[in-house]
Amino acid sequence: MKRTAVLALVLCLLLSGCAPLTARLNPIDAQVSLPLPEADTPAPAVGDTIAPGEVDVTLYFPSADAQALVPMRTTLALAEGEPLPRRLVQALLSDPAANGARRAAPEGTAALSVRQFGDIAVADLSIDARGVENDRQLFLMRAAIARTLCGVNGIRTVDVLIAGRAESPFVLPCGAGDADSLSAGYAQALAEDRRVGGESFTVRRTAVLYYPARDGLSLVPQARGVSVGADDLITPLLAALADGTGLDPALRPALPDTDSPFVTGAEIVTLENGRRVARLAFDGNLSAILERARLNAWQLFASITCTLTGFIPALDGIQVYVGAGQLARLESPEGGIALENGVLTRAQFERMTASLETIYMTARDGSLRALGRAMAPEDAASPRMVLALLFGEPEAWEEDVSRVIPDGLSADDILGIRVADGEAVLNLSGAFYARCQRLTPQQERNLIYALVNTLTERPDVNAVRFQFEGETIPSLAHDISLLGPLMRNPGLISRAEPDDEA
Amino acid sequence: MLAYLLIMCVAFYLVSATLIRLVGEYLFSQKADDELAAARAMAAAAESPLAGRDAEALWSLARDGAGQTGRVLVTDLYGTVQADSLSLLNGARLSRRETAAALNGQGETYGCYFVGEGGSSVSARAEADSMVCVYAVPVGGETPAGALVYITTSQTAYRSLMRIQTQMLTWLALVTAAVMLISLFVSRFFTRPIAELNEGIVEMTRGDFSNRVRVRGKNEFAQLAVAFNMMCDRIESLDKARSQFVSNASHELKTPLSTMKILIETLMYQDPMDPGMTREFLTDINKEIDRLNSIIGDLLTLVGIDSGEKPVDMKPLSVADLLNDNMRRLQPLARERGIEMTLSVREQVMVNGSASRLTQVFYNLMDNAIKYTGRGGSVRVELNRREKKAIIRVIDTGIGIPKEDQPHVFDRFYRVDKARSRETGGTGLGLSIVKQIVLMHGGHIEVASEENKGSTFTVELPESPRENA
Repeated sequence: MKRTAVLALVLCLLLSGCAPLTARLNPIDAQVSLPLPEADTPAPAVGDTIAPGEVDVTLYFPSADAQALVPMRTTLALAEGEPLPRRLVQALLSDPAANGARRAAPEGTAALSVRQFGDIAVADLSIDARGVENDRQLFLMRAAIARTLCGVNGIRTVDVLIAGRAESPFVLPCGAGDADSLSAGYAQALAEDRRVGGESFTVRRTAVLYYPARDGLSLVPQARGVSVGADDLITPLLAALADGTGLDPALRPALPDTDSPFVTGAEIVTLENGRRVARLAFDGNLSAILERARLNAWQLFASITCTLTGFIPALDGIQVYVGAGQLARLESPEGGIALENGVLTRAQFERMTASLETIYMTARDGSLRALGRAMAPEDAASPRMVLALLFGEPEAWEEDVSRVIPDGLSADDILGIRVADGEAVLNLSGAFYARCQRLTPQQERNLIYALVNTLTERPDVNAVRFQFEGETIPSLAHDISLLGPLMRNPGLISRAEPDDEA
Repeated sequence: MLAYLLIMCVAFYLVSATLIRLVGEYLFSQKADDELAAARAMAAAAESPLAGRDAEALWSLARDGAGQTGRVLVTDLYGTVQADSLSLLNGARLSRRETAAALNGQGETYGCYFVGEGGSSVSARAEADSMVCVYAVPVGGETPAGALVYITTSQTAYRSLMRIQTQMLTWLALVTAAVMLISLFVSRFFTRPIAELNEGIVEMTRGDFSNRVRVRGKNEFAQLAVAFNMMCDRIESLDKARSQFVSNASHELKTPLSTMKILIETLMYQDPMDPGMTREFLTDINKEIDRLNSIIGDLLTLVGIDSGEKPVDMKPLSVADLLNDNMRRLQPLARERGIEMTLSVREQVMVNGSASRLTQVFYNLMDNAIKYTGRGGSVRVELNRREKKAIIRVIDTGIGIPKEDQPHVFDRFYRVDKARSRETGGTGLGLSIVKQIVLMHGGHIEVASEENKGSTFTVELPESPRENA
């Protein structure tokens, strides 16, 4: 007995000597109590509301001596659903309260439209803006708008038009502006303008190019750098439109990639009625070429029209000749467009321009794939409209993705979305909850973060709370806590390779 | 032996465990300080993005801070992961001790853990069977808005520690084996002589006094073995003596009894018996009775001496006076046998003793000398003093004692010439009694003899202290 006890003791000691030095790492320690966000539970989100609010912004007004921009911090009150870029431009067009600054445009100038297409803003001012006293003020007006809008809502590029036309104080186009557009300065632009006489002299400008969406329904502006010379402004733009390098898979080049010259002639002419147009001649086999390239004629001409009028100064539109005949009518998704004097203008395609919204679906490797969807900026302002895209199936060209929403659910299962104070409260139906109970942990993660990441693409949302039938629940099916707000998960995102089909 | 082995193992284990712990602390403390400082810096950098809910900035910070092998997580106030360098735990509540401490205002803390075979979702980058350290630092100072959790692998340090532990265990096993072998050897070394000794004792208890223990070396066990063997020799000798004594005593007692039985049976069954013959028979019987009486008296004397009791009449005595008394008593006998008997007192010596016992010694020696000396011989008694001892010599010119019998003349019932001894009326106990009395007085007796030339008995008695003073 004694010997057995001694042997047992030795055995225990030896075994304890072989034991690990530290405790095992468990992901969860059951005895730990973390703070609970119970007191932080928001009211149920019913319907779609985007809370009005006040925004602290910096407005850049031209200085009184028209030599520089004067920053002015102010707080703007936004009405419910009012887009901030438009409100900013309106503020710039009003009389500044500060001394030493002046309004960005002549008095009476109105903002015809201020539209945001992702990171591009296009501001179209009324013709009154042309009443600036000199070229320098015109330059400062563009710079003031660009500088003010950049950095707001993720805007990086600003195109300023006057009555639907690009305006430039110089012979060369100004191009779209960005946050650093003033760094070049007026003097540099002027010096460049004086060298235009050189045969090989070109300048680098940012042009807003309008690419056709693959869905065939809209055009999506994209900012690209182009090198242009004073002798030929059209060809570099057409070349850029034909170049699909780095283009989102949801877009396609506007011009087909053909061996033979596609555009047989391009010149800028002034018509008898005084309108300045770009006259373009296309190969007579245009229809066949477009069909082979699976392009729409309307998207081709609309793309060229919007791109050229947005870049080339004082260009009203384009005239198109196919073979020997002039294009007089164009069919578009909005219906037939009768062309006055055969001129295509920017205004004719205003409603067909769209921004590229990003939604998320599950890629084959389990990550969340960012997918572009062309959508009118006015629609994209509605979080419900954007989320509704998640309930749809992947597009035909999106082969390796699948939707994250379980089958049998629709956008009607979104009971309400409220956006306020940087948070979106997403109220989903009980059916949505029930359908999610059989999701795997990865499916649950992808579903939740597809919703979160899609909503946080909005500049006014940086976290999302979930409710089901107006109630906050601990979790959906597995480990992701829904008690508090969730920030986006950038590490889960994979991006599709740009489409090089063009 | 097992107990010693256990003590050795426990001691070695404690030393090993302490050493491993010290080395582990040394290896991990510097690393922990550095990594905690890194976590602190990241937490400071995360404060603004977390407050502004800038997920891209947080993720970038986490990814850059994690490096190749680490992992960084940023939780909000409720412990929900809002940024993960691996983007796997976003949304999960990080219910860990370290996170709770950071969020509940207990400040920064860390812990090191062993990642099992299956790994852990928290340490997705750590290899299985490795060690990770989890650091949690509040984001936002005293009122934390979240926590930054920095997870690092400590593979190098952990492997070093494991190697040390393995080596320690190997050494533990080797030392255990060595201790076991040494213990076996040592215990065998110590217990074998004891076992042999025990075996010898057992044999002795069984009555076998011939068994001896093997003596190895010169250590204490060897000395013990020698002492044991000596004791065995002595016991064996005593046993033989006892057996001999019993045998001799029986024989000596039986002989007169047998004689008396024959004589009495003759008297009983031979009828008519001549009166002269009858008287002669009765006289013989009487003699045998005297003889028995004498033997028994001597035996009782021996028993009294053997009991170790000192005589009650111990006192300083003049040896010369004792010798003179005996001379006076035996002189007539010597003269009768034509033997010249002389006493030579060269120096007066006092001894402390029993007068009756010492008289018995001297009488016996002188009587024996007379008995075994032929007519015309001489018996000389000398008293001398040497080295604080009284030296008494009884020298005769008798028949002497054969050399082979000399060592046994003091044995009980030992007779050199058994027939003659009985004829002279000896019991075979006289010299034994003499020797015992001399020994009882702290003295010594020895005999020197040459056959047909005579014998010399020398008695040495310690001088009386009073005399000495």
